[in-house]
Amino acid sequence: MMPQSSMIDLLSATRKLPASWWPNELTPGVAAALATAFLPLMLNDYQLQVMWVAFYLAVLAISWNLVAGYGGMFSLAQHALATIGGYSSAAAVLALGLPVWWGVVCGGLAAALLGYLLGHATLHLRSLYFAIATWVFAEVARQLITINYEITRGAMGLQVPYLFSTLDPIAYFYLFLGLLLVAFGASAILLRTKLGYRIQAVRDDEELAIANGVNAARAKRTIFAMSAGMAGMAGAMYGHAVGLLAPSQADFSQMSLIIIAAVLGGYRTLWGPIIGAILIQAVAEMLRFSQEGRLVIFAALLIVVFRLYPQGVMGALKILATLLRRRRQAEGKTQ
Amino acid sequence: MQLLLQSLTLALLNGAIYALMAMGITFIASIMRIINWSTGEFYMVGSFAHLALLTVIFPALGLTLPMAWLLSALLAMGLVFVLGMVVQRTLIAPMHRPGTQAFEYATIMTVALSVLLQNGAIMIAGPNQYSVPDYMRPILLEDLEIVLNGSRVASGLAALAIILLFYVLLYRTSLGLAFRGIAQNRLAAETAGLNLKTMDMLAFGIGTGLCAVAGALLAPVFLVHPLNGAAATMKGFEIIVIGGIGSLGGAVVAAFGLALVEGLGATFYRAELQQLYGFVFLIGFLVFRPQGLFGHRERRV
Amino acid sequence: MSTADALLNVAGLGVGYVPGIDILRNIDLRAERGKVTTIIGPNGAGKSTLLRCIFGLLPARRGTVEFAGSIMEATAPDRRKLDGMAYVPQHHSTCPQLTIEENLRLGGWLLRRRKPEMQARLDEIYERFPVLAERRRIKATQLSGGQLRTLAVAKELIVQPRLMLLDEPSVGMSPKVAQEVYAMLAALPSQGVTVLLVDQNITDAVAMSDSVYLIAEGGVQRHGTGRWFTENISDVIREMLQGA
Repeated sequence: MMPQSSMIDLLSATRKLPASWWPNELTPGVAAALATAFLPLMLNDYQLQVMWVAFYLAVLAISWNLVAGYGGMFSLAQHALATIGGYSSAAAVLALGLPVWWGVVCGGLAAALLGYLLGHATLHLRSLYFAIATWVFAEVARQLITINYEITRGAMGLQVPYLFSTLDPIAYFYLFLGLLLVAFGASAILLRTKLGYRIQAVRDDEELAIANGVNAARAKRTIFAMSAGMAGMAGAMYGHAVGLLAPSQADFSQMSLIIIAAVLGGYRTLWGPIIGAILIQAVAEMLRFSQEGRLVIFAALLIVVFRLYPQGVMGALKILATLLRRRRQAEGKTQ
Repeated sequence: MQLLLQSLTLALLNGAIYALMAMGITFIASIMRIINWSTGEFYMVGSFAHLALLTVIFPALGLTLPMAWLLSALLAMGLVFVLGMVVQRTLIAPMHRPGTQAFEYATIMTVALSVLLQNGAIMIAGPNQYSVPDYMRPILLEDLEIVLNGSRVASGLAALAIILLFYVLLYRTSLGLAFRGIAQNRLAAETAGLNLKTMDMLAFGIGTGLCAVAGALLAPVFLVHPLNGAAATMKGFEIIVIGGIGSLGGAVVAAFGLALVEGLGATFYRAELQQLYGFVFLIGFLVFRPQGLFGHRERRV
Repeated sequence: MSTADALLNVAGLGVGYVPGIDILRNIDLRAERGKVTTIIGPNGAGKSTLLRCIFGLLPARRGTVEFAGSIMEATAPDRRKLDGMAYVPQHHSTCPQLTIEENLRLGGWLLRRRKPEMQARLDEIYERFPVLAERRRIKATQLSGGQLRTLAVAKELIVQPRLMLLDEPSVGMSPKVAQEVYAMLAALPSQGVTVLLVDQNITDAVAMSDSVYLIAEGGVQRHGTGRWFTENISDVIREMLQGA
């Protein structure tokens, strides 16, 4: 593990790279991914599975962070979009006979399309009503999946084919690590495009952005659809990794997990959702005793951290970095 | 004809309790401009507090009082009132910190709170349903040949009384005037010398207290269970969207209206669709008229 | 002007919203007891910010605000109201759905437990402002701009403040109505209220002032008597336009 100060030095050193489409943040991201790629040498099968579930949660958190953290759209439907991605993929594979990988693509596309439609119907609402509307959407999705049990097997769950012929978790470990790297990279690059700057301008002050010529409605819908697609594809992959889909994946508790992961880590940062998701999984593994106990700890953890550091763990780290830098400057002066 | 009368009476009684909950949510929304996503959980905590008082603590203290259920429900309301104030002061007040997005902060915090309370309740009380003895014997109106569930009548009447008291507070006291003023113009209230921090705290306490007493009063009807909160939140949100967030009168009208539609629909149409009406209305209003029946396009101050 | 006569004494005040950027840098200002003090300056100079800070709606980064001999603690508007300060903001200072009487009673919040006193003050206000007395049961949303401004001032007067801060009291009004507002404000010192106001309307405001401060670029550029400013008004305006 790198010492804290060196990590900070590395992060600030990468800021000196020439401006290009390659975002500064991506270099440590790739480095971290490469380092993580060696983990399977040290971990057993069970631990590998825990890790790739964490990666999956991180991808969902990243996708939510895109709309909520960077876009200012507080959506409560992310988990439902992932679930819809899963079931759409199942439909493509089981009903249309497509190969599993094409199913995953279909899942992503279906979720993106639904996300676009949902966005179209709700993004003009004030944040309060928007939040309620997305919450209702998720609830409707869950109910529809449960009720139509002839098609979806309802609450009993739908069995779907696996992605790989092997059940070795190492395959899924690298799959989700790759997915996480792609999601991380995509959001890093996206934030540097015109769309990325536009949506942040909209988040900061929508009226001002519109006055400056930004088509706020279109920017919001686009980001929302992209985030939905990311969640849907991830959800489809997860479904085919676990082999089972269930409407409980669209429970509100799943959404709260995503929020907790993203906010705990720092929900307006690129790394925050990843850190949060890994933290959550780590805590979950330490507290295997009860489902409810875990959620209580997560919620309590979020409440305490968010109360003290609304910027999450990343925020706390930044404060720490500033303090360390000031101390070093003071020491430098006295020498 | 009896069926209609019975259905109407029941609907009115239900509506009163719905109104309590909706008023609780809307009151907080109009004073603090936030939605408390853990509303249902305070309803649930209220019902548990009531359960504990009525079935455990009162007997343990050897108290046998007439209308003990009413005292217990009111005490539960008081306890949650205090809890709500503590929660607001410690967890929610920081939403006004400069550089913090108030709405986002409050949403994240109350969502986390809802998870905490719901799962905490399951851990403490188990995923069990508890019942509370009926408040009153069934009421038989011989002339009209109607039988009414005693608990529903008692709780409905109590709810009506509380609603009336709340209106008296709001329109006949200086504190109520202060609340109405804050809801319309926070700056004007501040220049009048009101301490907004204290008022926010009180408002949150009152709002959650109203939800709690609704939970307490409905305990014999819907039983006491940790997951009751989710349904209560749903119902509450349905009503305030229909009535208009920020409008207390709208909340009351929508509450009675929805109760009527649900009650009549269940009696004369199909009983299993009862919970669907509110849901359909919710979606309909969100799509066509998000400000509800009585909400106004508000100006920020 | 000795410090002993100053009801309000602002020294070395620095204020800002965004960390690192000061809107006001080093403000020294005095409001003499029983006099009208006016602050003028170009748009964005921070005049409104100054008033908000004096009333406690905004924390001061540097310097002190001393009122009636005591240093004011950070950000406590309700405390300052108790001590006798009042603030009439530029916009939206009344509650639209409340009647005139309710708005006045809300303004009299500090008197809420002393019913006879509250009633007496209400009667006084109605006597002084017949415009409000006639419409006491009408909701504020139905009032004209001038009536709203009168209500905003009246609801502060009901608790008999010692110092009244006003932010651009004549903005958005026709000249005739503005004159009435200024006349009302000019009469306040004789009723025991010290006035500190911020105004864009330089000529009229300066004409009724005892003391004037010109604030621009974060600091006090000029300070003098109302008469001096009136006599040198064209020079002052030129300076302001050049500086802005």
